[in-house]
Amino acid sequence: MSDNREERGNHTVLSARRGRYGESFLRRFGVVIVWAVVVIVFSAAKPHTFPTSSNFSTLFASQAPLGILGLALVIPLSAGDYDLSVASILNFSSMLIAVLNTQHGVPVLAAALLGIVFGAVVGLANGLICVLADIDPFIVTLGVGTFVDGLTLWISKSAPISGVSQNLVNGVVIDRFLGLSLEFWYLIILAVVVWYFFDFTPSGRRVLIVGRGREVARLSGLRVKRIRVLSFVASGVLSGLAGVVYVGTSGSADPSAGTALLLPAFAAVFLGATTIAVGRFNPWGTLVAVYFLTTGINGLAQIGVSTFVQQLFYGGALVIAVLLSSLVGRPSLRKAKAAGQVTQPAAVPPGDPPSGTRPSTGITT
Amino acid sequence: MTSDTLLSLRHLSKTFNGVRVLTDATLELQAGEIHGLVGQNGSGKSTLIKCLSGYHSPDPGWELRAGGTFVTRALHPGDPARLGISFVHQDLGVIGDMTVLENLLLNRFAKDRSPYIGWRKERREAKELLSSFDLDLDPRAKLGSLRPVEQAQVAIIRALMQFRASSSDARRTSGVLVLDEATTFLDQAGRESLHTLLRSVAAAGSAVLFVSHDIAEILGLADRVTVLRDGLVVETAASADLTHDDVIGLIVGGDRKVRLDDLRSDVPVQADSGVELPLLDRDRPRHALTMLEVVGLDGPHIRQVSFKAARGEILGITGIVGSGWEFILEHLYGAAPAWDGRLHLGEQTFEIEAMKPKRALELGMVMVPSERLIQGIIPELTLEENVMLPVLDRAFYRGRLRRKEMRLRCEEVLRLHAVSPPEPGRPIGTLSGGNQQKAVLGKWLQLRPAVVLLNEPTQGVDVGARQLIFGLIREAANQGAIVLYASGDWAEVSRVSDRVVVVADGRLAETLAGDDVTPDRIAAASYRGTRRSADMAKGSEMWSGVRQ
Repeated sequence: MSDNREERGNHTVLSARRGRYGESFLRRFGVVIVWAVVVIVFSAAKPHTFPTSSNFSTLFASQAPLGILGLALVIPLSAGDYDLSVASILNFSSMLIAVLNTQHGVPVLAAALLGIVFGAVVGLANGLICVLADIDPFIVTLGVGTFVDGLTLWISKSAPISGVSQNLVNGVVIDRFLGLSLEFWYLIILAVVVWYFFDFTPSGRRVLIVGRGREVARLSGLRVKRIRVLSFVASGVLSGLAGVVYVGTSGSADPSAGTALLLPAFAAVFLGATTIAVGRFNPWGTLVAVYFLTTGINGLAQIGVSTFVQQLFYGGALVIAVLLSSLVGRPSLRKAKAAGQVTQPAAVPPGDPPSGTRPSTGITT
Repeated sequence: MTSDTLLSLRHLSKTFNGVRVLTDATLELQAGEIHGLVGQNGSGKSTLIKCLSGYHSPDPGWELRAGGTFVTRALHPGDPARLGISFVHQDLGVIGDMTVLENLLLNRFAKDRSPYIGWRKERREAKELLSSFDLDLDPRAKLGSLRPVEQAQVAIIRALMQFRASSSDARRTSGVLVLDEATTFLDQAGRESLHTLLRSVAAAGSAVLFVSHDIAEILGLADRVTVLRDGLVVETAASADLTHDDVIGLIVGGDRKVRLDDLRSDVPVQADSGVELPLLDRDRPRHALTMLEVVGLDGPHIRQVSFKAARGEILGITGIVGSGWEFILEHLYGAAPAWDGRLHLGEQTFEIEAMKPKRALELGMVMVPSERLIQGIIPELTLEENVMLPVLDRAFYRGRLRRKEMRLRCEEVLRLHAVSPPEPGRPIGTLSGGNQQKAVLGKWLQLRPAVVLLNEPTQGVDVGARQLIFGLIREAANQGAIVLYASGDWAEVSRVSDRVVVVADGRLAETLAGDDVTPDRIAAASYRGTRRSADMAKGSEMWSGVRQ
């Protein structure tokens, strides 16, 4: 008897879900559609300068460092950890390459490798401090990032350095493939790698599980600590790589410019979690968000809005993205709690108290 | 209803997902009375308390009269305070980093609109209030530095202050104080001083509703006792008229003979899909173990527990809530660190204190954890992502995860474990509790484990799904697994298990087998084993360790 009722209950839930699957196209491609609308609006407003191939090729290529930084963030965020040091690593890596190459005569390839290795080392430090001492990554990476900023100022003597080997500049922006600078293609290749990792390898799945349910992961025999440390290392490596591309874009490094990319990168990753793979930090969503945001800023700049609009746009987008996500909410969970299925632990001591600052997209798929 | 009645509750029923857990309950509390509420786990005790506190909405038709107000709707969180009902829960709800005074004023901070706190005045008033109950506590002391019993006293005084703060007549000092197993973690001396406090609270005109598992404690403290069983109030009587054995009889139910054949079915359970359960893939060689033996398991909550279980057997592990049985499986699986002990699996021997979940899995052990929504599943991820987690590596070949095969394989596992609906792409959190748990079982049983550890596997699961879960567990045992089944539900444990290990006060009290596996025998062993004597002093340190 009660089985029947149970059955019926499930079917109503089922049809309700089907209804939502129907809407899922809009949910999945909402940001893409808004992006298209933005392009159309600006094309209409500035028909001679905005919708031109030179504008678009610049736009796509010039944002490669930001895109790579976003990809770097996707990994630790998926593992449930904030990494606020990514932009500092990018900045140091680019400065290190400039200093070594122009002042010490180190070949640019070796310098670039050192920049990436440095990213890995900082990521390792982030991970080990967070995991071994069990400290909130938010504060650890904030501190480590600031420390790295100090190193950047130190090695550069607080001055911009230009004159990095033309070989690097050629390999990043001058040489083109299908009309777009190589840096754009580097970004695409890295996005494919991150996507493959999360969607087609057991390790990627495990990172996701660790991020969403540490206890479930631990009790399923996953090496939670190792996975968290390695995702910090991966984030450091990608940030170091972003630094290589960043210095290659202009052939010079500025001791403070790179750190300004932190907030745009976060905005892109969180906005990206509302699209493509809804509810997950995902590489393609991140790229879509990067280009949506920069298209908007590019267009606004063309119609003559002041430069402070960048900040308004990035900041606003981050808050709105997070707001949207939480508005979509978690109806299923709330229902489960209301039905009393969430049981309170009786005498069980908490093993791993949930961290108050665990990143969450706040969306169900 | 006499003029002295502070709370009168009628026709309280509560239904979860079509399962009635509380039926037409009645409760009356008189001024000056200490009223005990007993019943085993799942009897509806905590549901009753949670309806009173506004956590659950009762089924329509209930009537509550308290604090001069008549209510028939569900309570909102602020309502109990206005009705003069205060709660002290097991965790006390105190903050160790704050002072006694700050803790006492917590509720005020939450509500008070006044911009200024007169600390000197508050401190004097608090001191007066504390000493009016013969409590010598410094309002400036950090709460965390106090003994557990003193912390409980602070929690009780704070609850009393709520009567005053919430009342429309500003000087109301009496009301209904509900203690929900608040003494579980206290030693005998602590309990006695708390009892003294409660008696003076009652003498000052309040009513105390005292929930506990400890029958001796209830009989010694309460004036009247209400017994719940299977969601029904089976008795309300003066405690002077009841003996210890009477109460056990009422809690367990004298008429309940165990029908071993009920669920010990060699008859296969039919799943919705019509597939016989559970034809787990027999192509893969399973771990074969003939015997599991635990020797001298020691931990924060248990002392020197030893037992054996054989291939094909379901061994129940049970006791009163808080007696330590809850932790045994977590120790064996390495989920919670043990202090000492050895685990013999067949010919091999392992140190339990060095066990880790990963190692346990490699040895062919799996565990279904008790806290499903925290430890068992990730609600917002899909069934496939949850269920296929242990077999990801098998699905990865020629360079990528074979997602289509995983999906098919997952669907098969879901069908074999009667998960409805068997849709791998659906978020697991949208399923009912029973179906979530069947999916968790499927996640682990697909490995064809040698040892299956089940920690309260039917928590939050409706009756229909329980039957299926029992069937799945029995089937796993029939296929040669060693099954350890830990649960506080004695009726269920005795239905499912071949033998039962009863733990009391952290020690092995008795092992029951054959016809002795009945709820009555378990109850007798549990309560008999609970001797509050000198060695509880040691026990109290052990419990105070839990609090930190």
